[in-house]
Amino acid sequence: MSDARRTHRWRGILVLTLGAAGVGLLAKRPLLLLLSTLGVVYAVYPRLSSVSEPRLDVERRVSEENPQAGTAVDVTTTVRNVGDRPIFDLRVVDGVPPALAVTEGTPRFGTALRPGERASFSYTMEAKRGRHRFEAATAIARDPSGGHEVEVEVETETEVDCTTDVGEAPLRSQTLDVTGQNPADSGGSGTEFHQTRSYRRGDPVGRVDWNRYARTGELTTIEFREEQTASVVVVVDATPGAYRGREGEPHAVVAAVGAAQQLAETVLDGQNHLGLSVFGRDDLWLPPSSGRRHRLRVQELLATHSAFEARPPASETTVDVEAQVETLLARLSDNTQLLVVSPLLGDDVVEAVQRLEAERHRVTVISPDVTVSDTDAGGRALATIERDSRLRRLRQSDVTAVDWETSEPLSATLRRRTGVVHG
Amino acid sequence: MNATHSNPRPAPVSSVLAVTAAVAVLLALAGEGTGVGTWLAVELAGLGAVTLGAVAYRTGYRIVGLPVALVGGVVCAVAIGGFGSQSGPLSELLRLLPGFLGLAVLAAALVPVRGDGSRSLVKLGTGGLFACVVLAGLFRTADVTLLLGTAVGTIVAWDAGEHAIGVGEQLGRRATTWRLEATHAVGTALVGVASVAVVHFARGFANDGLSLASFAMVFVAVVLLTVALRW
Repeated sequence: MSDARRTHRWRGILVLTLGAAGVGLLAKRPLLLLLSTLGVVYAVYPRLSSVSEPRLDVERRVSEENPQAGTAVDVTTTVRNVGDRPIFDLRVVDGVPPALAVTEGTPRFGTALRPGERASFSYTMEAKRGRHRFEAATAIARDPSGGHEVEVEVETETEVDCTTDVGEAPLRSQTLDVTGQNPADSGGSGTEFHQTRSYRRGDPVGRVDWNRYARTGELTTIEFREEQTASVVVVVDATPGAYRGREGEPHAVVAAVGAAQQLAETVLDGQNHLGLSVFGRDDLWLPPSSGRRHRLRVQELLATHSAFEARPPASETTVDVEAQVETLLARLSDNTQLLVVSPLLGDDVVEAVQRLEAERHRVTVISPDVTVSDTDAGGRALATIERDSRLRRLRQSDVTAVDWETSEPLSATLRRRTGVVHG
Repeated sequence: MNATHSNPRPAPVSSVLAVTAAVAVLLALAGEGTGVGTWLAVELAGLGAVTLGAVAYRTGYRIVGLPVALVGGVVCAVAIGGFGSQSGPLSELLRLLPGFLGLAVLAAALVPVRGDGSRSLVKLGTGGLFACVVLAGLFRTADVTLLLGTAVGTIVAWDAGEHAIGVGEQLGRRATTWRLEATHAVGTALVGVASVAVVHFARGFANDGLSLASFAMVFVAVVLLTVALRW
């Protein structure tokens, strides 16, 4: 909570009326002296009225919770005074998701509310690809005189989910052409016949080849092909350098998190294990796993974890990607694949990917393109060239790198790339 | 709180209220004759044209908006000049001229002619009005009720203007804010009315023949009281 702060807005009145009274004194006009009474009264006024922290209940209604990208979404926010004192002067600014733009109306509203009373306001915003969470609404209450004000934040969970299935994650073919089932050369339990071998103590009774025993009296054990589920870790690049974007579009981290959400769904749909990590200001490690609860956990982390926050970090924030890669390597088990989503706006991520690949983890990079290829844009054009060279370097070190033009759905890009990935 | 938004200009309801209060103060102080009403009407017409022009200019009709606003400005200047140069008792002109200027400044601050509304201009404009009130007291052209009433009107004008800018900064012109603005203005006006009533009530007890020395003592007491209040 924040304490009431004083605005001192009535100070001038007192000075002015006292000045008038002084003039009255000099000019022997008793009437003018009376003006100072007004000054005193208005100086006392903010003292007598006070403001306590408003107790508010904010409710949001969204016209469409799963909109198509580019469609208009109407938001109606209702504010209710759940305290037992009237709020004479209430200003509310709704916490519109940072990546979304308000196209009609305004997410700001001012009113006065009696206890229990409610008031609502609406505005329209344009949906963009990704999962967008509303931030806390900011409310400022003032006393009737405006002499004190209190600011509070009111949190209400609201989400706009504008993600579509990507269809197929661009996983490296060696492991994942057959989604989720990686036929291994070692025998074990499974469904596909692999070989028979002589019985060893401790083999399950169910796997003993009884037919053969009846025929030959020899105890043998049937082995099936063991099926391994691929383990994939999605790593999002949320380093400070990635918080850049084209004019009027969300920055690359928003795009990357949106892509990660879609990729995670797809990987999990394919019966694979999925983990989550990040290069960014906060550490995040979710070990690969599967299941419904794990799926929810992944989406929740992507939507709420501080490392993915849409608000750019403070300018002095630095992230030691190299150290984060070493930490990640220590956590990864062998054969874990990596899906790195990065706009490739810095060399550190390229080096990180090369390091991971060198440690025999198969890495696929999906790179949302936020650079401007417009030739007369000078500096930005340079960023495009640098990014192209990074993509080339990655491909030279045998990393699959998918260049994703963010204006097009990720699924379309991947479908087009599939031939390359699996071919 | 995030203060950057698209339209941080003074809120319309309070702005209109501020200008209305200022006009009412001027009319109340003018009393009989000297064509104050006429020149005031001309000035208001000019201010209206400036407002229309500024709004048109900002909504994209630059070619129409600019000349309309300029014509409005000229009309205002003519009104102020016309009032100042007419024949009549000099004291009458002198004591209302700051109000005429103040009204124009106040309106210019709230339209706003430039930027996002200026608190200093609101102070300057209502300061001109207050000068009128003080001059009315000096020239003994107003009785207690009128003097206190116009002073309260001036305070209401300033308060509404300042509030309009504050609401504009935080919420912008497009937000629905009339209820908050009305509540605030009613509060300020009620306090003013109450204080005028208290002064009247107190004067009913006091005798009129109070010496200046005792008034000086009262003044010192008032100053001490306010010092005590502030700290």
